[in-house]
Amino acid sequence: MGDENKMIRVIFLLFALFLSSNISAQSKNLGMKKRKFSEADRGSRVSWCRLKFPVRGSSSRESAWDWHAHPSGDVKMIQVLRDYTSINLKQEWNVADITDLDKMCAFPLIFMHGQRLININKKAENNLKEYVLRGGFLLIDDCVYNKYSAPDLFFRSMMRKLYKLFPGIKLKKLTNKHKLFKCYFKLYRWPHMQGRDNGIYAAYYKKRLIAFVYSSDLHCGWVDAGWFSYTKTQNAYKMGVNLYIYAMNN
Amino acid sequence: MNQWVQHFRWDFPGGGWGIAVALAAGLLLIALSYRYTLRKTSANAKVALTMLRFTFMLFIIFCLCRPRIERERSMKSSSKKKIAVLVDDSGSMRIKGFWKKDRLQEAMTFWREKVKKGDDAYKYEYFSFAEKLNQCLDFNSRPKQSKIKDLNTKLYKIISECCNRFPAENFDGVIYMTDGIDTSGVSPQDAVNKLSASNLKHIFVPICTELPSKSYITLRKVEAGNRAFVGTEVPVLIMTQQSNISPTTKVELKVTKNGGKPVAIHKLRSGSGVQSVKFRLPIRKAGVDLYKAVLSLDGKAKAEVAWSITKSLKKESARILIYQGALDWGTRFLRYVFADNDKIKLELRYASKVYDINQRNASTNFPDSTELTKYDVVVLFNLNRKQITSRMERDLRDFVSRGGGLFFLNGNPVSVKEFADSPLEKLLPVKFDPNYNKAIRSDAQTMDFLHRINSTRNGTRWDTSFRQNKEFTFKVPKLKKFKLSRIGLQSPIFKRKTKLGKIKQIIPKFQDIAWVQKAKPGANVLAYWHDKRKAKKRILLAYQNFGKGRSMVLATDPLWRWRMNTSSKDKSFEKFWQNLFFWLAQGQNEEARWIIPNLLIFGGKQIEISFVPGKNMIDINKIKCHLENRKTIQKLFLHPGNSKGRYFVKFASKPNQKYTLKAQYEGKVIASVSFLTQPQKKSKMEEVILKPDLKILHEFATLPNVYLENSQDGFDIRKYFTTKTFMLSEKESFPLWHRWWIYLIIVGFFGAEMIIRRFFKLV
Repeated sequence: MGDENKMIRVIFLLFALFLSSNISAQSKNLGMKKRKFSEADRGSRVSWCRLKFPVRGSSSRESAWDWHAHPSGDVKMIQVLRDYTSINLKQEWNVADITDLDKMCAFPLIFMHGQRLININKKAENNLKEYVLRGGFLLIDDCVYNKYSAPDLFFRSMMRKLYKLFPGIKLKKLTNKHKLFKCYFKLYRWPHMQGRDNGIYAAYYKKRLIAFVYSSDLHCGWVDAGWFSYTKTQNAYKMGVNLYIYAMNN
Repeated sequence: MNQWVQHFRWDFPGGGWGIAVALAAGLLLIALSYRYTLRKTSANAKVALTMLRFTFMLFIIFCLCRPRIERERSMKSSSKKKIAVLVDDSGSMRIKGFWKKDRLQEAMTFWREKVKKGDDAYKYEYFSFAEKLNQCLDFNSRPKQSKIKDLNTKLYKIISECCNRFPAENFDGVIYMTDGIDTSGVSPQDAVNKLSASNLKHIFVPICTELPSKSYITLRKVEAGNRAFVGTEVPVLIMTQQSNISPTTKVELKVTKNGGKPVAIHKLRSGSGVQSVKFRLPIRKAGVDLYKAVLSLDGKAKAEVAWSITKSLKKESARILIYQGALDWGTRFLRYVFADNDKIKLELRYASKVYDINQRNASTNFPDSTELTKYDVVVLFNLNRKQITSRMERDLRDFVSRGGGLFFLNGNPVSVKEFADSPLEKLLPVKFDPNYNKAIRSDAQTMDFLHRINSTRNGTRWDTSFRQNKEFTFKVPKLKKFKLSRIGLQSPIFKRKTKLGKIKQIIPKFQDIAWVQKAKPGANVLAYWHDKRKAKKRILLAYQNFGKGRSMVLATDPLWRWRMNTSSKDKSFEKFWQNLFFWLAQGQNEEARWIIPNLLIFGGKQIEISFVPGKNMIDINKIKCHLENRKTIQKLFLHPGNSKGRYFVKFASKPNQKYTLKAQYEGKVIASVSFLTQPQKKSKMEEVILKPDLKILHEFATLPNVYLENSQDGFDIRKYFTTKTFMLSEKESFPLWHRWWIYLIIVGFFGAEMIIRRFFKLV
């Protein structure tokens, strides 16, 4: 009787241990040992920001706003960036409206995440352009709207918008030999999560890197809700780190 | 005074009477004891024993008196004062005045008759001076006149020499009898410095005998660089010397360029003495220009000097190394500052495991000392103390002392505080504060949200509420403005030209600041921030010269927020960083040049002119120098100079000639200078400058330990030099009873009594 109780207790303990390790490992272990960065090891402070912008859907009943999908993905990415790099990224999630240039300009990188066609007025366009001309960087990720019929609506609309706002812009598709794939973590291929795999495009305007645009929904990988395989999720984080760091240094 | 006095001394209670009573009582006691003894003793034995015992008692009382010889010595000592008396023996002191008496005679009369020289405690040594200091026996007769007539007076040099020499020879003071005139043309500053640091007392007696003299003016020194960059200014210093210029006379110094219109006109004051004129010549176009300075009295040229300035464009390129210790958005912004600028080449290197963590090649390491020489500026960006090795510190020190620019950029207060009292801090212009300003690094709502989503597998359920809470909460932090110091306002770093050609001040803004405790002595603070909360000025930007280079500290974030908060059309951010890096790089902008300390070069003499080959000159033997004069060309040889990296050429010059000195390297002229030689120098200065220079003597008298006496009244030397007398006394004592023979006699008496007793059969 006593032995049976003991056995149940051990099994229960092992099961609890398995559960806890699974939860934390999914989001934090990127296949390398975490480095302990003290405050003295970090650079100057910076915060993460999601851009708030209107979109146009396939019907008038749909919401004009879909910029806000899953902030938990952003917050986990912030944590990864803090855990694995010396970036002094504040553990803070912020929102800047595209009509408010002052708020946008408080962040060197703005994360744009949407499902449908971007639908912004002239003022917002000017703000977006001015933000980039001042040195700001756009990280544009397509949140998959319809996996089968329209998987990259936002991606295509943003490409058109960039061409319109920045005449002479060069959108260059990056291969896995590009430095982006090894500037921090080494990745052998582009980590596509879902939707249409258009790869990743780097936008250069007047020889300056101003944006990364892709339709692979990396952000859904960062959410880490068990939607993708373990490896895919880790690669999404790794590529997120690489994208951020490459933008900082180039 | 040194003498000995000797005395015999003794002590006994009651003095002589005491002894007498003691002896009488003792004799009585002995006599009675033998008179009434119970033993049968003969009278002879009683007498002998009584005498023996009395004699024995005498010796005991003698010893009890403590007889001794005392010697006393007294010494009188007095401290002597040694004073040097100097009399000016220059030409101006020997010119006869209206009453057929010269200043030298007046000085000697003054010394003989009007100075109370004190007693033997004062010792005087006499000197005369003109160009040199000569010792003489006394002033009873006139000092012998120097062989060379019309000697210049090098008063300032003599004062400096006295300050160095006399303390070593144990002098207590110096008395100068002089008219204050120095005709050597040097600045009195060195003499003032030496006097203020001297422990001796210096007493100046101005000898002011009126002498008939003419008005006179001349150039004494001209200092101007002969190489400059376009857009800068060349500082020029011209020293003039004049005598008896009446107030109605117009004295003017005019500087012309290439024989054209005057570029500078300065009016000089009338009267006598030395005047300095300082001005700056703006350099606007590249090329060689000949400048001429003419000194005139009522429009009539009295002296002139000419020199050339080679004007070239600033260094065309600068190589900057940014060595980064932590990832920062500043990198991207700094990179783009120079993206369109071919003149500046920017190279980024990262400390180990900061960037490109999988790659372990040399590009992640700090360059060695040889590699460092390729750069003009090294930026230590966001480095923490652990990332700086002793090799790096050593190499950086060498790099800056050789002329490199070091820029320490870090706005992280936690990281910067670690550099307080570090070896690297010694190289920098500021001392960092070991305390730091704490800042909030996380948002409570986000942290709570993160905790929730990490605690469960499906964390998306809180997304909507979190987004709703955060959507409108962000407030743009207000940036802080740089406040420029007085030096900062003049610094080219904070200046930019508008499209209309006007100069506009650049005022950067920042968010993060690391605390700096104070600027080091000799460092210049360019900008600070007024911390209203602590009512303190926080240093933001400071620099110091270190060796040939410069080191600078910016204790803020890399200012990218300022860029983001100004319009894209406003290029202040870009201009600020370009100015800053170009300015830092100028330390290494050392090119070949000739150095002429004084452009007043007198003809008919052997001349030496220094040459600096510049930083990039590798083979000095390939440099060919020649001197051009009208149609003749003279080949010159470079000789190594006293200091490292300096050479000189020697040549004989003729008066009133224009010379051009050129240095060529592989057929290309690398340094050139033109100058005009002066007429052969005649030592007539002593005859023309006759008005005593009382102004400089009064200036000397403002210093501690320097006094000015009136030659009419005379003075008492004891007023300045007081002597002291000391009495020393010494006492010695030699006891007389403390002798071996005394003890022997006492023992003898004891033995004698035994023998007598035996003889008379008493025992």
